[in-house]
Amino acid sequence: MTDANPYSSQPPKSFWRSAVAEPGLYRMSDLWTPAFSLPANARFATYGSCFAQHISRALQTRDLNWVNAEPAPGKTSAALAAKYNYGVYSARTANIYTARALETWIELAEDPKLTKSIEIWQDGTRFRDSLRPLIEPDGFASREEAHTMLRSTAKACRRSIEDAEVLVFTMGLTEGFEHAETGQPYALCPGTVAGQFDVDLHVFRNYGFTEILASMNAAITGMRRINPEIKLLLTVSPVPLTATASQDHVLVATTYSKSVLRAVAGELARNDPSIDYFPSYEIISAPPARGQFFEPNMRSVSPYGVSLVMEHFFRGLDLSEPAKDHSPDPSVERRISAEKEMEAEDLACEELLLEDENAH
Amino acid sequence: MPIDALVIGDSHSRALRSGCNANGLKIQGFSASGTNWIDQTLRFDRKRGLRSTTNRGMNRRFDKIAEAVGVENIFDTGAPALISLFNLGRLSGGFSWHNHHVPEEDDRDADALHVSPAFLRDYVLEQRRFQLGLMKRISVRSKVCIVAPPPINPSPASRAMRRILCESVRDMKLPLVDPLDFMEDGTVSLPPEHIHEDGRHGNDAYGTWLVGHMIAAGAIPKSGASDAA
Repeated sequence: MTDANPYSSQPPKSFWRSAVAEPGLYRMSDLWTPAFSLPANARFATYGSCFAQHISRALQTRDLNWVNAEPAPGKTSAALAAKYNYGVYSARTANIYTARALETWIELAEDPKLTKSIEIWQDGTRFRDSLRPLIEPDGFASREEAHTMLRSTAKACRRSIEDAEVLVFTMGLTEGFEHAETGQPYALCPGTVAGQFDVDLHVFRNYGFTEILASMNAAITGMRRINPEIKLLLTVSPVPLTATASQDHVLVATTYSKSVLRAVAGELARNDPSIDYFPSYEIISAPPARGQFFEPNMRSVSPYGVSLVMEHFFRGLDLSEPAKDHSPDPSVERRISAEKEMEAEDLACEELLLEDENAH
Repeated sequence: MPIDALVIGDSHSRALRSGCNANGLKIQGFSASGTNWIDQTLRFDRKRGLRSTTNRGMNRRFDKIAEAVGVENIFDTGAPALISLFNLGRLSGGFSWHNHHVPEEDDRDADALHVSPAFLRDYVLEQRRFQLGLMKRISVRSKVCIVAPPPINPSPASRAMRRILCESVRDMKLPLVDPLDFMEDGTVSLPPEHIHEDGRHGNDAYGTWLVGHMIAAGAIPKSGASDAA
């Protein structure tokens, strides 16, 4: 018999009173102890549901190496880049809400030729690809064009995985729609903002723990075939569901969805030292925040919430490993070469005009 | 002194001026390298036509043109302004930084990034908004004829961008002369004998050939200034 019990040796962070109630929301610490160290110049790829774009943005703001494998052409304005969804994620995948969709994207990254099998929706005279129907404001001019562009993004997605030390993926939803025969997942329910819903062809899926775990494992295996060293940092989006196609109340459906995703993320992180979980969901949604980080619609996360999440993220991030020797970014070389060509062009123009002036 | 045309624009306008002279047209002209137009230091001026915000020498040249034709505003001569202002070389430069390809190009290059035609159009129009706006503003004051640059071994991106700018000029209902219209169908580049030794511009022979076609097509109306001379 001893007075000691498993709690008596636990640190202060293990107790609600000392870790949460007393410090309060803004003084909580040690929320995240990273599972792995990263090199000082680690490169991050980011994908996932809409909350993931805050991570992309924060990494860029802090001048960390965010992999942008499908940037807009040089000199594109920020407004134009945003209109065409450049610079949101490491490739123009648009939001990837479900693990099943991530699995599909990794399959495409592994073999871009598979993009041919992705369903294209006709929208009037334009065409939209069913994995990212809103990637271009007016869709594409033809099915062929939609497939070409999708293939380009699949290749970029592959490059982002090849180049990154860590891939940050924000899990968003358990609910999604699939093609009844091919099993291809859709980014959105057909017929909501694009496509047409066909009750015989489109099936609702509320993926369970086992299915999501299987999809995530398949995606992770695929990523590691592309880059065996890549590490994965999972987060769960705190943004509630806009709507549910289940029979549950949307609030209940949201709790189910987030709970399952959180459980899968925990399961993956617990069993693999190269996978970690960052608690953005908890920071926004847990009782200490008292819901204050949600906008009046009680769904969108306010900039203050995003800022607090990022504060914890960067406070915890361990970049203590020696910097890696990255192969030079070929776009830097291309840019230098293009600038040299422009200088040569300018010089030729100036010389031509000078010669002309002297002649008259 | 009356003139047949006022020729203005980037370095491609040099061949145009030379061609006008060779075809006996009385002209005044002003050429500045693409940088001056891209940096927007040359601007439309309601009173005098064009002014540089940074270069007094250029403003003296505008004043001399105005003095020579006896007007305060260089676009008040009554003669058409032939304008070459696509600055195409610079446009495809920025586009190539990240190995972007236009939709016409195949995607066998694993590192190539394709852009959609819709994006490309928005990109080109964004990059050349100032030049297109300048053409439009001049057209309100004067007759204009926009002259597309000579195609010289263009890359697929350069061809696509050129086509977009030509369409945009037509969409603005401005008269456009595209040298390709005077060449055989399927031609993509000037013949070697029309290419300046710098490999980037049309030469005097090209100017003569182009202006000859423009006169024949009625793109440059003979005002009589040249006949009177």
